[in-house]
Amino acid sequence: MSNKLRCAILGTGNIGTDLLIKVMRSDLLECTLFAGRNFRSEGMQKATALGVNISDKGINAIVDKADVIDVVFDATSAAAHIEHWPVIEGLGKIAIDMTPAKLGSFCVPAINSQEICGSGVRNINMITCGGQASVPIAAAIAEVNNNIEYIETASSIASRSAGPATRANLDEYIETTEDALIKFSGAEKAKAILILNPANPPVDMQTTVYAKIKNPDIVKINASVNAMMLKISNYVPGYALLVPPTVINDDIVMITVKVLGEGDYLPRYAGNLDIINCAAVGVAEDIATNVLELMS
Amino acid sequence: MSINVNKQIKEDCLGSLKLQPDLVAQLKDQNITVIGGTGFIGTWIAELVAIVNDTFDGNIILELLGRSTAVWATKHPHLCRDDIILRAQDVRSPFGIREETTLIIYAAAIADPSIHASDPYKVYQTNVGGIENALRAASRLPIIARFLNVSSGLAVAGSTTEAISERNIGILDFTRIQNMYAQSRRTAESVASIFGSQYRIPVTTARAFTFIGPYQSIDAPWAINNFIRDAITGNDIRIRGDGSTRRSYLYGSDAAVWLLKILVAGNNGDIYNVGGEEVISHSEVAYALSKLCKKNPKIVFTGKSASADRKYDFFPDLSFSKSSLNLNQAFDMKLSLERSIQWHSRIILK
Amino acid sequence: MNKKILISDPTLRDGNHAVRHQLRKNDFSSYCKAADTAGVPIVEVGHGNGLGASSMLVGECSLSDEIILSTARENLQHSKLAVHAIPGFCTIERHMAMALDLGVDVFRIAAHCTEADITDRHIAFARKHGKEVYGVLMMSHMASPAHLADEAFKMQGYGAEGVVIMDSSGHYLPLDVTERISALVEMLRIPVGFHAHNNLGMGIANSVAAVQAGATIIDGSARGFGAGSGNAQLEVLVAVFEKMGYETGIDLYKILDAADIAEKEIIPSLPYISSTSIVSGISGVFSGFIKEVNSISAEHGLDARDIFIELGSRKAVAGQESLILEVALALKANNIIEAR
Repeated sequence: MSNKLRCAILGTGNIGTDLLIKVMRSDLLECTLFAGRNFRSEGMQKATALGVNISDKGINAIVDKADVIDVVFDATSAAAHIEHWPVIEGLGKIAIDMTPAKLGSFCVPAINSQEICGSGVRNINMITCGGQASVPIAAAIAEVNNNIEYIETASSIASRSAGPATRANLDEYIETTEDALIKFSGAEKAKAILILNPANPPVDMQTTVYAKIKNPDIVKINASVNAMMLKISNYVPGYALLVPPTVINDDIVMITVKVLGEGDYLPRYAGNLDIINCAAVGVAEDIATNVLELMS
Repeated sequence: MSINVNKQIKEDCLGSLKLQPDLVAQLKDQNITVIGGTGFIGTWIAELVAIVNDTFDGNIILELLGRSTAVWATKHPHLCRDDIILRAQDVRSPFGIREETTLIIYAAAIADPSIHASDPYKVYQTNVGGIENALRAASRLPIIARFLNVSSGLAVAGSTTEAISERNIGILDFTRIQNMYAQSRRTAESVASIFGSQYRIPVTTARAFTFIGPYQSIDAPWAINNFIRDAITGNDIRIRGDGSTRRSYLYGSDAAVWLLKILVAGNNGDIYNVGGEEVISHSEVAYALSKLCKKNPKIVFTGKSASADRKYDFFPDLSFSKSSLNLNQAFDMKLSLERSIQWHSRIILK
Repeated sequence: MNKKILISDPTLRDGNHAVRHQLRKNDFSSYCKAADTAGVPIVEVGHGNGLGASSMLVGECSLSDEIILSTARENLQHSKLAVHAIPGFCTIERHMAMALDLGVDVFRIAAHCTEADITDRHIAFARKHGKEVYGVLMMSHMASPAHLADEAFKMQGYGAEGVVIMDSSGHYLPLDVTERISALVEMLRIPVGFHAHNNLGMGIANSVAAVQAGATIIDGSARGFGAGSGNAQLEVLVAVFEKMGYETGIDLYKILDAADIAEKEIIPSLPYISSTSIVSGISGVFSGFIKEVNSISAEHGLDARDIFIELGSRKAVAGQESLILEVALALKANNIIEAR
């Protein structure tokens, strides 16, 4: 009888398949079901090759196999998640929502993973890729200077890493990221920008955070950001500082980070997709650890 | 209010049926599966089956396969009945059909131009991969009376001002991405021929032109949708170009009756155009809508392009459909527009 | 032969780039009045990067979108009020809906020339509200004519009433324009337009080439007031088109007056082709970067031209302003290493 947290993955596209590989690599998690709607998808074929149970019955498969599932990663779409959540909730399972549906509590593992695990919240929303990259930085700044007037994050991602779903949901991406920035940094106002860069070879994901603060304490901010980066690199190995905290125009602090993906299923330049998956697995592992502790 | 609309739809179905006196008998006791059954065509066919069963004791069983069956069920509670079986299915994945089915309609293709632009791969998978899965499913049935592929007149249209006949082959630059949709329809028809030849499946093709009426989603960016929305909201009706582009429109109940007639009485390997007879330009449609709506919106012609002399009229030559199966329209443009306005007003002006 | 040209005037939008988005309320009211009087069909206003773009990344606007739009609206009786909007910067709910309420007539939804499919929902929104909506392809030199035509076709599919291609870095020569406009005219059923920049002195010539290839929408700014070396000079365009026998609906004398007003009241220094503009034009880097590159290169003791060439080779696109500092720091580090 394994001690691993039993995870189902709903949605067998690129995100779901990359999640699958990360889950399988984890010592604390196992994938008991990989469910989608299209057996023909590459993800399904990959899962079969890895010996994972697959189903094309989507959410109904979760219902059928509820007794071997603890957590459901929903990597489908916001609209679909809104339909799935009542079912998952009814089964008493935890949902880790990779979509911008925003039904649950925002989670950035480096900031509030423990709090989320302890709170008994059952719908955990992973915000957005830009959110996972920028919100921890914003929070690190806020720890030093808690009077942030305005916070902004601008992410540029490779055009090739943005599929039809991302492109159709730019507005949701922006709004969700802005909401998370405000929540975790206490800033009065926030702005999120997303740029698709078509350069070939594809560019790595890059995120710049700007914070407007009166009298920023750059030394303390540097220390806080470095501490946060250590926490993030625990679950996102490819997260690195590109431009350290720099003061421009007296009251603006600017920081640029780069995210290189693991290359599990998605190409390495798709750090934007990788970071949100790493974060999701990160919080799942924290849930698993908590469960083990409770059990021991 | 909604009771009236449903009643009207039932009456329209009966009206269309009147022009096909043999059809009810031909449909009696049949088991039909519509793949892509939660769209415009599937929903109208469901209405027809319901009315035939209720009024004429048709004893038809209809299976509808679609992606969003749960949503469809909540939208059309009056169509959730024992004789209409709903099954959630994405056609890109292999699937099976009810064993009792002997008549199949494939109507799952994606026709929304904004999806063609943004996700051509999905369109290809659905239009080509989907019909392949459907034909495979059909080939496993004990008895297949007919497989009807609802294709599109756009497969063979091009730049034209003439009625498009089934015998048009049309020249298509398949290397250009903007021709991907038409190419996917052609490929789907080829795939159907393959199964017709190699697996002995009796395949018939219907080439759909423009349909109109309730159950049409107003969101797909077709000209007619834009005009209807503009008319209802009272915004200026904006017509791109000079409005001379011509179409013809077939009302939903007529379309459903025609397709069912082709299904039960069409010939293997034949292609039938399904569309309206009355050829009407965009500006004529806009004026008609404007007159029908209380708000009497203005017509605005947007900029004329340098290529304005290239015409893209789109309407069928119906001589074969008429002569072989006696397919005729019960409802004209005026009624079609009235029904559409009533239908969409409820939704848009909520 | 279509002898009508629709002129769209982004003096108060592209011009905002030239002043780092610091145009004042009076600037908007006086120029709008003058343009309206001259019969300019479409007047485009706002932050240089469009609706909702005011940010640290591309520069904060002195005025909010709300104030700009209401000021402009008050001062335009006959001309249509237009906004430039880039999905990824601006959202439907938080920006476009507001613009709609404030009486914007025309929406120009813009994307980098290879990313047209991000404009679907925004074009659809404008369309659903019965507004005039165009698709705009920026940095259009970064795609081949055929690819550009494919992207434009998508915008047509989404409901755009016309597609305008921009020479955002002033990179084109007239033959380039002819090729591209022809490709779009061939592909589309809707009008095609061109937005020139003057980095290589080709603003007018390129606009003329566009029209001769079938474009029916041309952008022009008063005195060319715009990013980098500026746009095609509007009043020159009007004179030239009139001479060529095209109708713009704009009164020549009155647009000359409007340009005089612009020069006197709102343009701090007239656009000219600087050395850096030439280099950015040749390297195909977005003109809107020029002020930032100049300021960062001054700060770090670097040659602005080196930064442009490096940005060009990195294929920087609009919105990647943060790359400028990164490139500068990298060049600086290189210089130090070489100096040793």
